[in-house]
Amino acid sequence: MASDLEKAKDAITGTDSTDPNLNATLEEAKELQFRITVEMNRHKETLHAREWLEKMAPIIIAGIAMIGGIVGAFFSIYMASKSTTPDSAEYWYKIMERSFAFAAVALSFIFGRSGRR
Amino acid sequence: MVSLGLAPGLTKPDYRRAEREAINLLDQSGMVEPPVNPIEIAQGILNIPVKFATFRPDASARISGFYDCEEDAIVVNREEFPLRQTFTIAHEMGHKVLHEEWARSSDYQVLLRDPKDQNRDFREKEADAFAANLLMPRFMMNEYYDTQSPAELSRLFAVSVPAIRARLSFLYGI
Repeated sequence: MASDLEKAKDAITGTDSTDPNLNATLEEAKELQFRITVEMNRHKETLHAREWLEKMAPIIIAGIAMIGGIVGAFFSIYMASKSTTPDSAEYWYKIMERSFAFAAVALSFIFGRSGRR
Repeated sequence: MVSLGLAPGLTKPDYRRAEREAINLLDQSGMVEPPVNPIEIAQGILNIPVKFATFRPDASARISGFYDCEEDAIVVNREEFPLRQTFTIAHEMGHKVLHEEWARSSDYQVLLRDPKDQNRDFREKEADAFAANLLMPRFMMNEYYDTQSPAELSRLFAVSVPAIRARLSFLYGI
């Protein structure tokens, strides 16, 4: 009695060394893998950019506040120099002090924050 | 019938060996991304030709493929769906690597298209495990299983959706 294998071999009517359908399927899989890798890399880059922005946001805001404080202080000096009365000069002098103090706080926040990283 | 002194019903499949041998072949092939091309591994590393056969209609409806020990070749039914042909080639490669002596015996059975008709000998389970580890190794699946649907994974790994679902269930319980 012929074995299972012998029966299967006897049932063969022709053979080929390649199969275009299988080659096309494997080629399609490679292209899909490439597309997925590109998409995954893009997603990772977006995540990194978002993480960087989230980390840097407080420092950027403090930097803007510091610049605002310095600009305010110089504006106060200018206004004090233009004052015609002692009360007005005194007022702008106080504003200048507060503006510098505000800028100093913002600067210390930036250094304190970047020092922890 | 040649029994080779084994009792198939009482012998447990050695899945670890199947995995080890599959990963060993993958390492030699240098393939680190899907799809794993089983033809390249069979022909390039094991030096076994893969033949795509046309069968008589009655046999074609039944047979997926087999390992022909006399010619030392893997024969695949060319009428079969390509995503199943890859698994058939890898499964028969498993028999060559794990059970060459048994594959030469009259106990060896060709791989059938309908799994319900297949004799679930422990060697068939080992060959299935070998094929799964070769075509869908854990380290490759880890990269994609949580971002791609089973249908996409099936196209990516060039295996059938049921094969991917079985692998997802085995590796990740999903």
